[in-house]
Amino acid sequence: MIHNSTDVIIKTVARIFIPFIQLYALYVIMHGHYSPGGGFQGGVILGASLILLLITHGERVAMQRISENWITILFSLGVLIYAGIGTLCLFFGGNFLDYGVLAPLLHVSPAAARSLGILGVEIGVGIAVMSVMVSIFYNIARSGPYRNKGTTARRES
Amino acid sequence: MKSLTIIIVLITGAVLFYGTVDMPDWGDPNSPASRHVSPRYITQTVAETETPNIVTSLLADYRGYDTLGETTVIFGAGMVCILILRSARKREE
Amino acid sequence: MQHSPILIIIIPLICALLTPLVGRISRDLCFYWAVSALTASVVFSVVTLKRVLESGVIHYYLGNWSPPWGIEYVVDHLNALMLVLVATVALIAAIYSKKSIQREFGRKTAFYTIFLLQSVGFLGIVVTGDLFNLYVFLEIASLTGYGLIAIGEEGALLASFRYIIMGTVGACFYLLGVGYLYMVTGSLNMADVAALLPSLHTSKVVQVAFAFFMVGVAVKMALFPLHSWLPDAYTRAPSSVSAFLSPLMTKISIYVMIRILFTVFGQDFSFRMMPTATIMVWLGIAAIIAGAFMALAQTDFKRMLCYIIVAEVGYMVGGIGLANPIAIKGAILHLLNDAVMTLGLFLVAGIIVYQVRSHMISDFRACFRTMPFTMTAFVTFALSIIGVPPTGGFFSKWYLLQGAMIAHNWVFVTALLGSSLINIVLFFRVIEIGYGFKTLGDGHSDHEEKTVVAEAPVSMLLPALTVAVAILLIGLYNQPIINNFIQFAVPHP
Repeated sequence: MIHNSTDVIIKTVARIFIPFIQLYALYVIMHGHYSPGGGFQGGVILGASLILLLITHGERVAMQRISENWITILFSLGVLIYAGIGTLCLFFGGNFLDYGVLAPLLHVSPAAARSLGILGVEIGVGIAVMSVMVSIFYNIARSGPYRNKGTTARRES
Repeated sequence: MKSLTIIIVLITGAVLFYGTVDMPDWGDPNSPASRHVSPRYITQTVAETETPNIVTSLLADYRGYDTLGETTVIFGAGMVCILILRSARKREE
Repeated sequence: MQHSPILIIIIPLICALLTPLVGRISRDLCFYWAVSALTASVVFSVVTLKRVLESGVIHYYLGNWSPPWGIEYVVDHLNALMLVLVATVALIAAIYSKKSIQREFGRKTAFYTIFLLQSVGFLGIVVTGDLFNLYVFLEIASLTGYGLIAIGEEGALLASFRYIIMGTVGACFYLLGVGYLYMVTGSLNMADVAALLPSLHTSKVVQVAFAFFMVGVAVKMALFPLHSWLPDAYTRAPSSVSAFLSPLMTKISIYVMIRILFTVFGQDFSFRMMPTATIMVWLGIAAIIAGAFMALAQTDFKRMLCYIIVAEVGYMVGGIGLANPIAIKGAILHLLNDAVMTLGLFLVAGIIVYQVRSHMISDFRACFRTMPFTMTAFVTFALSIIGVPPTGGFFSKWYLLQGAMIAHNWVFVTALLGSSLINIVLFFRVIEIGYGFKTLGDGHSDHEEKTVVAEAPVSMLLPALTVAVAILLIGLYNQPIINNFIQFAVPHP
């Protein structure tokens, strides 16, 4: 069990920073076409913002925002977006992951369709990385011999 | 056992050093790695994928299938954590 | 059907991603979900095999980028056969896992997700024609393998951790090899690298890359001095997991080794310029002898099988190292045989664990009376491991023996025959206990036997019997298998 921090400075700083971190994460994902970045990096930053929320405001608050069930669904969804775009290309007569054939669907030239395909898979990667980071952190934090030590310490104090 | 380990590590290091003798120079524009496949990526990326960032187009398009694999690795890591840690949690409770 | 090579991989992958959602509807549904995904995979691998037989090697460009710029799937006769083998073994292990995982682990949703991902990893390694893509799928297969082993009985976590350390070093060495090769060739496509390499044969970078490839793969296949992770990992794993992993992980590593030796570097480099052949034969001999003797010292049935795997890896590595067409044919046929035999033996081990709740050999008492069908299957596999004529094991050993004689390597011949004799001792010891000869004077035995009466459940028995029939069929049809598939994989000097 991760508890709500009792330190006002930590909580305030986290509350101010989290929206900016998330905005920056989205920028990194979306701007992967033009500058260093992309799904992996953006996903990690997004995950970090949620982990920051988790360790400063405690499990209960964080899990109200995004529950463990949702995280599990999200990391299936992320990879599914990637594999789904790839499979969609099969139905349009191309090879797997051949985004160019999606051009008629998106009403753009094949090269532009490839660009959009890249954006789509980057978003998928971002979602998958974000949710897996949070899930791994949450699972490791909640299991093991020290899992309940926090609770007893609080009760005693 | 410990000395054996050190010997193995030293041998591995020596082999790695042995390999550096014939390596192309650092950053050499005429090295095979920059002459064989790279020119197409550098010159054609914008025309073929409309993506100015070569790294992104390489990662998500030319070798997009590897990236799908890497994403699957991450998904697998998350799933394995759930598999092992949640069951450990249940056993304790 | 043009897309059949990718569908083999992508159907189980997408099904694995959907399994957590299916698990929300009903946990029991996950089993049927996984089985149907793997059935589709088997169907498409058979379709691919048929296409290869009809029209030769299949090339599939992922993302429609031609190699060497993009990633390419290449299916030739050898990996078409391997694909069918891997997909079928995965399907059989999945069907078999229904009862045993229910009792041994219970959390089916996560289990079947990882199980499907594991199959994706194995199939992806086999089908690809790209060195780095192979590494990516090797990573998927290893990672999920560590997880599946870790959920086993007491001590599985530690065994899995040791496997992680060893396996990561192995994969890391493979990756170093890929990096070194890329440095001097600038390509990752196997065929392209093979075309560029002949002019670089004297380059030290290529030699180092080759050494790292071989050591990396040797760790993954548990070749003798590097085998220490295997026995613990496969003994502690849940029975359906050891039935799934033990036939495939080592064999797929050997397949990768064959690819690296013959497809990427070519036999001129591998066997004439480097002392690979000699090293492989002697390591093979060491593995056979060490594996056989260590198997003899075990009292735990699953552990004994693990050491038999170590010895069997020695057969195949030694056979390839003998470097003549007959021995290599034998080694590849043995790859097929050994996957089927090991699968069968671990299936039997799992059934006995399920019924008797122990995998010590001493607890096999009177198994023949209570489980006649299981033990019939067991005897078939035992005969095949020993190498008795109608079974598949005999023919591959026969080819290996012939190859060793042609190469005048009498030590290998002796090791091969000696380990067959040891296998006779090993299995007849189990059979003797199974018949109950040793417990006749034991006063407790009557009382205990009443608790163990039934034959195994059908969902476990049927896979074991199917595999037993398969090993006989491979024996009977060994000649067509060699003529239609294996001979294309053998390089001709």
